[in-house]
Order: sequence, then C-alpha cells, then structure tokens
Amino acid sequence: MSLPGKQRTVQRLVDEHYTALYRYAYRLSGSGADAEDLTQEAFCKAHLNLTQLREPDRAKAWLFSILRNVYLHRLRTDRNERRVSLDGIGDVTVPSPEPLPPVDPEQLQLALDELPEMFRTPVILYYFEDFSYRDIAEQMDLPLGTVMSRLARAKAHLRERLLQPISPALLADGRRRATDGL
Amino acid sequence: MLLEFARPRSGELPPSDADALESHLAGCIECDAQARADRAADARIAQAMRAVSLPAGLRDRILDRLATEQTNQQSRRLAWTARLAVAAAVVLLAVGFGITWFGSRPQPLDLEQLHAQGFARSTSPQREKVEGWFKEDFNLNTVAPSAFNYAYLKDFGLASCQGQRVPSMYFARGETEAHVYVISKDQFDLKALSESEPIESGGFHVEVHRDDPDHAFVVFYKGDSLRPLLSAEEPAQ
Repeated sequence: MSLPGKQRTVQRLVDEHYTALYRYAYRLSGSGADAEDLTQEAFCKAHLNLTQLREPDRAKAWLFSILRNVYLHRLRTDRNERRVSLDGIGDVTVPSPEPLPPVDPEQLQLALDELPEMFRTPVILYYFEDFSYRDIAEQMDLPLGTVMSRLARAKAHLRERLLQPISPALLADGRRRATDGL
Repeated sequence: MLLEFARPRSGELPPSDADALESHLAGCIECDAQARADRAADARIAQAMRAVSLPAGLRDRILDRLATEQTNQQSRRLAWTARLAVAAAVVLLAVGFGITWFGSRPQPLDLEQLHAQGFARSTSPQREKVEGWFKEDFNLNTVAPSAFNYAYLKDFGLASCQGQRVPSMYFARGETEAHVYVISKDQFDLKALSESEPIESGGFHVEVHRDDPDHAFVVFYKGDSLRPLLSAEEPAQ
C-alpha cells in the first residue's frame, strides 16, 4: 500500500537529509544521544509544519533552521553549559603561520563545545560547505557582516585550540560527554 | 577581505573579484602562502567537522518516531474533536433547554391589550369596526347586518354549524336579545333559506335578513319585537 502524500514527502526528506541533519545536530550538541533526539524532533516538527516548506529546493536549509530552533529551545532550559568568552579573541585576519596538523574530530568537538552557540552555529554551517554566507545569514537571521565577523572569530578560536596539544584526560572527558544528555 | 570570501567552489565572489584575487595570489608569494595555509586549515577542519559516524538504525528510529508522533497527533486530534463535539452538544442542549423553558413559561397578562380587545370594543362599536374585528381575530372576511344598532352588541364570535364556521353576534337591550348568524352563499343555499317559512325555536323567534345577495343574517331573538335592537331606535342612556 502506498503512503499518503504528506507521509511520503516526509519520508523522502528523511532519506535525503537525515545524515546531514544528524551531523549538524551532533556538532551543535556534542552528544550522540542529543543529536539523535534533536534530529528526530526536527523531523517531527517538519512533519507538523510541512505546509511552510514552499520551496522544496530549500528543504535542507529549512530543516537545519528547524533543528537549530529545537536546539535553542532546549538550550534555554539548560543553564549549565560551559562556554569560553570570545572577548579576548579579536578578529584574526592573519592566521598563525604554523600549519594546522590533521584534526582529530573529537578534539574539534571539544573546541566547538567551548564556543557560544552564536559562534558555533555559523562555523559549523561554514565547514559543512553546503551553505553560502548568505544562507547562514538567513538561517541565523543576521546581517551578512555580523556572520562574517562571528565566523572570523570562531575560526580563529578553533585554529588556536586545534594547534594546542590536548591532554588524554580531557579527550576522555569529551568522549564521555558525547553520550551525555542535555 | 576577498580571501575571507574566497571559499573554494563556493561561488561567493563575483567572477571578476575571484579572477582578481587569483591574479594577485599568482604574483604575491606572501599572500599566496597565506591563502594556501588558510585553505589547507579549512580543508582539514571541514573534513573533521563532517567526520561524524552515524549510529546504526538511525533512519529507522526517525521513521518510527514520526509514525508514533503521527499516531499521537491523530489521537490528540480525535480527543479534541470528541471534546468539541461534547462541548457543542452541551451548548445545544443548554440552548434547547433555555428555549423550551422560556417558551413554556406562562405569558404575563397584558392588561392594555385585554382592555382594547374587550371593554374598549364594547364601548365604541360600529358596524365596520365589528367586521374589522372578525378579520383581526379570526382572519375572516364577513359582513355585519346594517339594520342593527351596534350600541347593543354584547358579544361576537364564531359558531359551528354543519361543519362550517359561522360568524355570530349577540345583541341585548332590556328584555330583548338576539343572536345573529352571518350565512355566506359559499357555505349554504341562501335561496332555499330565503324561501323557508318563519319559525319559532326554543322560545326564540327566527327571521332572515338580507343586505346583499351573497349573505343572509339569521336572527334568533327573544322579546315581543326585534325593534329595540335596530338602528332606528335611540340607544338607552
């Protein structure tokens, strides 16, 4: 028996975007369990609000926006997040001359986890390379200049942290946290 | 600044700016080195960023959750529909009860209307008015006899005779009283009525009066004569 139209559309959206959405959720939350939950909830909300998707070509951006909103909603109830202040980090226009070694994904996650969401989201979307600066600006409802500024600071922070050697204990802590709930 | 925008394959820069940047990098060792380092670092971070392993069975669990949510949503919708239906039924019942209750309540007596219908009518009667009352009260077009003095009209209404509604009037003055029935040619044979002999019935004298070919007035009266009730007589003070 064939599925009803709406259900078929949602299943197609799942098939096409669930991997990207999960990865985005994982990089946002830093936790596999949370990423899965966020992904599931984002698809549920998409199913409920399917009529809002007027341009099927922009389904991916639409789903990413939904997921971010779900994440932000949860974040507001979680007051225990540990984030570093980026006040001390200026707009780095000249990157360190030291070449970046191969990046460990978990070390990257630790560096991402330190960033406030307003910096973390654009830098994740930037490195996924599927979204233009304008896409990022639209998703975050920010001016392009603000996105560029935040990206520069977030990238500088990431590079700085990724150049630092990481202690095995911190890495182990990060691995543990990857399975924690929000 | 251009370098910030110059993501490989991104198309962020207009072609002219992209060409200008590439031309500059080709001729500037320092900027070229910076661009290469920058792009290499970006490539490594991007690779690591996407290196997220997917948990086994994720797709199926997403679809299961969607199915569960859909079922829950349908249940919620059903529950809401049921609640709305119950609420609508309660409202309808309340409205129906209210209408029934208000409808079944005895009406308050309108004394002014009673006065106009009864006392006021009997104090200012005229023949045309009496005909009007038949129309108002019984929706009946009829005529009243012209010979009578309506100052002596005491009552009027409808009598039933052989299954027909017959307008009736009651006049009284002293010992003389008369019941007048208006007979229409559409109801009874007026010619046969006119040709019948005068009769006496239960102490009443009976006469038939005519004002027009379409109606006859059958008058039952008590007293020596009908004359005291006719319009030629002066009404008693």
